[in-house]
Amino acid sequence: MFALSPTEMSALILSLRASSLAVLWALPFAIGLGWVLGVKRFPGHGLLNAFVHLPLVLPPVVLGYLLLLLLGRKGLIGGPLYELLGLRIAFSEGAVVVACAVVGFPLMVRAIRQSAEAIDPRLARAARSLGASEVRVFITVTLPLMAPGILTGLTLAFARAVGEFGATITLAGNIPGKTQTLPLALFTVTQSPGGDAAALRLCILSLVLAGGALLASEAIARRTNLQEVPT
Amino acid sequence: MRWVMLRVAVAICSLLTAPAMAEPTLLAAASTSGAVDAAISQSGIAAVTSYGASGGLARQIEQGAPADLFISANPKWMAYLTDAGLVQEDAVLELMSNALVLIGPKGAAPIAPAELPAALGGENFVMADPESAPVGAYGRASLQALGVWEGIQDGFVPVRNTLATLTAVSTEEAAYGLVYSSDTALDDGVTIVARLPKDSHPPIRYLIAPVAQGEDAVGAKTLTAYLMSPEGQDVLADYGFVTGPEGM
Repeated sequence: MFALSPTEMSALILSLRASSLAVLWALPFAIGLGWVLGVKRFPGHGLLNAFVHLPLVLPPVVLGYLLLLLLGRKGLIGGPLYELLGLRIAFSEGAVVVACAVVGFPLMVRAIRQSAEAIDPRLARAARSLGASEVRVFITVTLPLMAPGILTGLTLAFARAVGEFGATITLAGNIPGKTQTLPLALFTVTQSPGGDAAALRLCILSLVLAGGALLASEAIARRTNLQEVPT
Repeated sequence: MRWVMLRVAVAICSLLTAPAMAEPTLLAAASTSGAVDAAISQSGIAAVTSYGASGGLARQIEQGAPADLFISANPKWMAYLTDAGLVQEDAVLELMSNALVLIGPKGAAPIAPAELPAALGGENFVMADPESAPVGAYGRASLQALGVWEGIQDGFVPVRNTLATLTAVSTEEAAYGLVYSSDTALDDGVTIVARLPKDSHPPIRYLIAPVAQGEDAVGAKTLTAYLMSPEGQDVLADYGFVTGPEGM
């Protein structure tokens, strides 16, 4: 019952690899945006915030369709990439990573933004008054104080990426062994009569992965909170 | 003014709680939506429709969804329901058929099906996933019978359904794709480059049957009778489906 077939195994590995790559690529952007949204006030703040949250509220299939139009060979971004570098994103493993990164991004920004908002601005001011440059303040004061948010954001976005379905199947297709992630493999077996046992097996596997990521997120949050108490 | 508002509110509430009028509920394969909607509005019968993948609908019926009539694009799922005793086997009728076509981006030149691997030249070929969508299963059977299935494997991208196939071809992410002939009416960004021979795949059968747990058997019967009548079949044919003796 729990022996995975070769395609299911490659789906599992692809899910883990694509989700990890996705959160790592998205991280620097999420830290920058989370910090800007949490600390700075400027015209268009609300608009930028709403835009960042779009992937959270758009139906994933619509998101995948928009990404396909944008990143396709004839698209606004995909066009130049193809013309200049010969790079094709749609229906490749890269497309899986992009879809996972885009859906996980708002969750990451939210968590980081909240921890940025909670930072006492006097700490940065004190560091500046002692002669630290802006860059040094960010790296040695702000960034460590945002760490709990960054870790929570990473694990949340990872859990969301592992479960991503709609945008992935639209942008990357459902190629077994190449772009078929765990949720896509699960979808495929539920679409044929008699696929129930395989569906249940993949379902349990997905639950374990997503649950594990969430538990890890909770554990990290608790540990970092405890460490902060003495300071 | 306040009284008018109150009356309107009361009227809306009574509308919401009024016993439902006898309207048959039809669950039908997504690929039939345009044709079936048109046929229903022609018939003048009030019916509630819900479209989706045949498999998903069959599982909804299995879980007790309030359905009076079911149209399946995949005979496997109708058999699944007859095996479960949710549809009477002798009540199943063949509603219509369909044909398979190869498509290319707008303006693509016609090709012979046997030339497909050469015409692809390393580009992508898209089709609904044979493991999950009936059109993909028919397509795989046809391409195997025509001897080109192995030749297209490198560029083959299984996608979710025929709409995704049309999108991939019209945006030129794929050089060629395979869909039902009835799907090409939906997208003017694609061109039919070849029609696949009818004998290269198992017959494409759209089956219709009343659902045993339905509450409007009369409505289901009336709607079925219209869809099977010459007028109903004409509407379905207008949407690219194959009807009459040649299709069955």
